[in-house]
Amino acid sequence: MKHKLFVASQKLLKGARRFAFIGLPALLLALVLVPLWQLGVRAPRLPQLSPAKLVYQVATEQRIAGAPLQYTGPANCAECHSAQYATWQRGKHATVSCEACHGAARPHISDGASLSANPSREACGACHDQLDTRPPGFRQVSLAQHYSHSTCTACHPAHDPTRAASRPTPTPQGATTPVPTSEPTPQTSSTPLPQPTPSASATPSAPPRLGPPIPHPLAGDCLSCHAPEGVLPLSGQHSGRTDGECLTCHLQGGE
Amino acid sequence: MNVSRRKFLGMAAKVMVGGIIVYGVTPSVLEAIARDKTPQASSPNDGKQKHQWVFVVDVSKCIGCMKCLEACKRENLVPPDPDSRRTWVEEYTAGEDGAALGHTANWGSDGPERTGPSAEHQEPAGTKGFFVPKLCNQCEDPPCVPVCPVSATFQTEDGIVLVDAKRCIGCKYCIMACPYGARYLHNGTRTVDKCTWCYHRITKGLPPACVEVCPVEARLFGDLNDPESPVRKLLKEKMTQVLRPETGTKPRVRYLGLQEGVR
Ligand code: HEC
Ligand code: HEC
Ligand code: HEC
Ligand code: HEC
Ligand code: HEC
Ligand code: HEC
Repeated sequence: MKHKLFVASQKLLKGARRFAFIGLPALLLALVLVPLWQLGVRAPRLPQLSPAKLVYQVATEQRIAGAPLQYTGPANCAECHSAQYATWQRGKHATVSCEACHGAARPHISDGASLSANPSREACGACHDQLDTRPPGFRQVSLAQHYSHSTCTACHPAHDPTRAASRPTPTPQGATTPVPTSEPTPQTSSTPLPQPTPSASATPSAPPRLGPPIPHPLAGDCLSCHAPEGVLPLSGQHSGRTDGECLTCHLQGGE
Repeated sequence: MNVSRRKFLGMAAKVMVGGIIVYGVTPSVLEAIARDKTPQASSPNDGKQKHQWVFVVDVSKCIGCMKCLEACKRENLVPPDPDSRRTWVEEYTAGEDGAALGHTANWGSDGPERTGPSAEHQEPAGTKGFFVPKLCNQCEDPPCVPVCPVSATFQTEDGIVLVDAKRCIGCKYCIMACPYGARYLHNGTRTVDKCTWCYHRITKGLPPACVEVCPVEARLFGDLNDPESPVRKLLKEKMTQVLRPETGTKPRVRYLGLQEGVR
């Protein structure tokens, strides 16, 4: 009696023989075709990364992208500091972000943390101190030599460094010093004189005596620094003088 | 056990088909899932459009004020010590023949060296040297990525190379592999950290922190896919260079006005 298993194996063998004729070629064909299909259709994307890795990387990307910000940009300051913002915007420091000088402002805005407003000479010197390695086109001064007795902001307001600090309010004596006047200062219209050299009109007419030359090349807004509360106040005889007049008696010159 | 031939063949066929399905389809499905999510991470607004971020450094403008280092450390919680830095500024001082000689070893974290104008120097400032800001180049072929044994560092679809601090084991292979010295070991976490071009800012449409605070536009950032981007126009008009092109890493930080000898 043949064992059942033997019978089965015989059948199987028989089947295998048939398989060799139909099944095997089919299988071989599949073996060739499937990898070809893999290569041609999908291979360019397969070798990148294993899929499991991609999934965890997405989570990492999202985690890193969600980190909190510290620097917010100047636009976010305008709402509460409109005056400083306006001054800054029209001045030479408009390319310098508020936070470059004041530090990261996110904690200031969201939690009310205080910001530093460092007026020290060194703070300005971080950018302006004269260095051999700085590009020559960038305005620099020697921190050790440039008006070393005073803080920079006394003469250069931080937010608009070339413009006057607060305009001197009309000084007691000299009537009303009008708003910064331009050269001619024509009163009550009348004859259009050919470019009148700054008149001595408003001031007691005394023979114009030349004063010391201006030792610095800065033009305009003279009174922002030479008014009574400025860095170099004028003597009494100047009372009532306006910016437009200075150059009649003071010549540009000297070092 | 009595298995008919028909049944056997049927089973074999099923196994084969099943195998093909598992082998051929699963990765693509997983990949599709992953891909579905990726755009959300990189660009919240539009599903498909990839960014082509680019960073431009104008060497001729840098004044070495080091505001960028300060901002980077603050923005990315980089430890204060000078060896920990995602970005840094090298100060090159020109030699006799005008060639770039060397640079400060302190990565600029103490500020520039105070080499003020001396009486005998008649040249204007700047002829004696220059500053070179540096940061991760986000190479197209980053040599730091394949060396990671735990796949903690990888490239996003937008080409930013990130480090997963949770996976990093601090082996420092990637630090060795980077030709630019852009990676460092964070002494708090003991994992490797690097510049991400402020990934958390640029994915929200904000400039990197160092670009935000640069007072002289020596650092510029933009997306080449944005037709309005000033950087796009700039790159069309001007010739730029990259650091160490010979390494073949295809760095994506473009330099303007890079002198001979800067590496
Ligand atoms: C939500 C309103 C708000 C916004 C937005 C805001 N600030 Fe302020 N800031 C204040 C208030 C209120 C004070 C005064 C409180 C104080 O003195 O601490 C102040 C004070 C300051 C001071 C003075 C600190 C001192 O010592 O005198 C500075 C500097 C400053 N802010 C800078 C900024 C900058 C830069 C931004 C933008 C990035 C900004 N602020 C945005 C409300 C704001
Ligand atoms: C070049 C550096 C610099 C920039 C840029 C700058 N600040 Fe200031 N800011 C200062 C300094 C320095 C002071 C302190 C002024 C002083 O003490 O005389 C100050 C003072 C302030 C104060 C205190 C009140 C005051 O006016 O003295 C506020 C508020 C302020 N800044 C906001 C801003 C905002 C908002 C911006 C951007 C729009 C900005 N600052 C840009 C340097 C700067
Ligand atoms: C973060 C760098 C930075 C800091 C800090 C800084 N400045 Fe400036 N400053 C600049 C830039 C940039 C300009 C514009 C230069 C230009 O346009 O050529 C400028 C322009 C100036 C100018 C005008 C120069 C000119 O004639 O065109 C003066 C004056 C000046 N700054 C003074 C100061 C003072 C005072 C401080 C300190 C309160 C200060 N700066 C702080 C970057 C800075
Ligand atoms: C006493 C007033 C005064 C003080 C204080 C002062 N400056 Fe000036 N600064 C001037 C005047 C006036 C000029 C224009 C004439 C000149 O170049 O000397 C000037 C010019 C400048 C310029 C432009 C230089 C150029 O090449 O055009 C810069 C930058 C500057 N100052 C920065 C500073 C800084 C930074 C400080 C603080 C360290 C400072 N100043 C302190 C009065 C002052
Ligand atoms: C930014 C501030 C500032 C402005 C603006 C300014 N000055 Fe001056 N000026 C000074 C300082 C500071 C000195 C002292 C210089 C020194 O000691 O080297 C000075 C000195 C002078 C002197 C020489 C004084 C003496 O005793 O020798 C004259 C004259 C003068 N200024 C005229 C002018 C005129 C005219 C203008 C307008 C065209 C002007 N200044 C604008 C700051 C300024
Ligand atoms: C009518 C001629 C005249 C005009 C206009 C004039 N000054 Fe003078 N200034 C002088 C004379 C003269 C002196 C010398 C004063 C002395 O030696 O007592 C002088 C001195 C100065 C000094 C040196 C400090 C002092 O007070 O002695 C400064 C600064 C100065 N003038 C600035 C100005 C400015 C700024 C203006 C414009 C607002 C101006 N001057 C307009 C004639 C003039």
